[in-house]
Amino acid sequence: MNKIDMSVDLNGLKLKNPVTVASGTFGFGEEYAEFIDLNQIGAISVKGLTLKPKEGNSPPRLYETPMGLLNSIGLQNPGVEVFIKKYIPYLRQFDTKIIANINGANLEEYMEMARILDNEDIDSIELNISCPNVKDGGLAFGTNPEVVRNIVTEIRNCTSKHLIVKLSPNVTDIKEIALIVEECGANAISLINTVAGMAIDIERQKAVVERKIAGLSGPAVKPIAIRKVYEVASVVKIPILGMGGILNGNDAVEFALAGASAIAIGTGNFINPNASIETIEGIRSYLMRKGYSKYTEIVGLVK
Amino acid sequence: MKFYGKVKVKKIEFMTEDAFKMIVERPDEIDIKPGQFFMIKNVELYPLLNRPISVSSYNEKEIEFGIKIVGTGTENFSRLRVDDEIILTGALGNGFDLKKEYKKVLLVGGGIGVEPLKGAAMELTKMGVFTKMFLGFNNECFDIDVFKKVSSEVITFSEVENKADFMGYPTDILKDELAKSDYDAVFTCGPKILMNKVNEVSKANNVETQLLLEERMACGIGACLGCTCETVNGYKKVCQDGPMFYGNEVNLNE
Repeated sequence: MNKIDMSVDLNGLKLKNPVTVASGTFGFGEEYAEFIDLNQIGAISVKGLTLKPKEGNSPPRLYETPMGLLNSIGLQNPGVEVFIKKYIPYLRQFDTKIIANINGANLEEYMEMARILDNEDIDSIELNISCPNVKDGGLAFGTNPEVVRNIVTEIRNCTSKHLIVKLSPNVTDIKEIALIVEECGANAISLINTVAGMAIDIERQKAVVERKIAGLSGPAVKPIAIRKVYEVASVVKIPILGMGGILNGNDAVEFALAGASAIAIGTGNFINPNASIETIEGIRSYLMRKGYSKYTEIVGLVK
Repeated sequence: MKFYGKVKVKKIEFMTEDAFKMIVERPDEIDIKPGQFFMIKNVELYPLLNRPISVSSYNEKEIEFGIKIVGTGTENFSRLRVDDEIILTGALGNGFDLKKEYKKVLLVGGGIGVEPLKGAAMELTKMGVFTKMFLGFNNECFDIDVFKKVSSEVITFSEVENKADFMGYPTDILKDELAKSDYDAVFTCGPKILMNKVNEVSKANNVETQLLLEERMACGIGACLGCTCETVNGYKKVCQDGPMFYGNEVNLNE
């Protein structure tokens, strides 16, 4: 059973196994530590951070759709300083990698956060230029190729940390954006962030959330995510951290075959607090059943 | 560690046309407090999310939930049969604060909101606290025998004539009740309009209110930040900071 080598190297970020948890679905790990052993997870991408504490969007913030979840949280978080003081020491108790997901309302804020975190004990910075639930920054940045070029170049100059750029699926050609990100010095690419979506309450004749457009996640978006991972994998050389609707080992294997060097569980954590652990076991049993000795052997097998 | 896993259904019993009782096995070594809830999911994949359901009552072997059918998730639960499995996560949330100094507590419930008060009355009675329940229903009363077992006194209300002790709402005589007797606290659960009124009347009589809020949830454990409610101290998570809030913390006017 233990003969399978699950380790992966995301171009400088070495993980004991390819299973990570997605930003915004795992808090800072504390809540899940009451259910699972955090030492078993490859990496934890923490709740999206902003320079100052952010209280998030007004409720209601959630709406369930067929096999999906629309959210409009709006990056509620305690701010980067609290993360540094309270949550880095907390997470360092565990043998897992820390990915700091950063968000800014403008380029200067992104740069400031990258500079601050450059001196801190984290393993990677995940540049989130794809959140659909905020007015400034987020999706508006991540969908414009020239803005992406500018921001990734600037952030690369601000930090020598391992840098992941998280992409939005809400673009016409994700390959173009991915190539820019690679060219500008990112170490890895994570995708997909949520798919911009909307639902309407037909009785009240109003959108279900105040901002009207929300982010769709869960199994409903998995085929979109697989396609985007596959497309990006066909053009870039840097590793891909794939996510979008993964609930178990079989889902994760699908991402691996499409080209994901590692994967993240997102909404799946909400449905099953044990999802990440079960996914590690599921991948391992697939590899055994198929006669592989290493996870990396199946990455990108589907051409 | 908190519990996550499958348990067997022991009983499904309809109390009204659209409300039922679901009794499940209690997993070993989990603590439960009245006012807490579990995230519950059917074993099939659809619908995707767990449903947050308050604990109604419990003993060493079983947990009882009172559930109103409001959509696909709860309707699926109602169709479960004995020995079917469901997935439980919990117990979650803070639950009622059963203070040692309480001597007399009034519990005011409306609709399916009467259910979580059952466990509260049970524990308070065990502590030697005098409890009185005002229970409001929109038509037939349910489970009154059980409520009478766990509470010193039970008064029922119905919107329909001749269905309960009084026609009307628990709030109709609440003011007089609080004025004539020295309650240490009022526990309430039910429609927002009921809890709001209860809260206002208790405030006016300087009686502490503990109320249970409800909100749509994704994770139920404090990670997704989806079940936000506004309080005097800013946004709070219903799942983790609540679902019990003190009356002076929240504003229930919409």
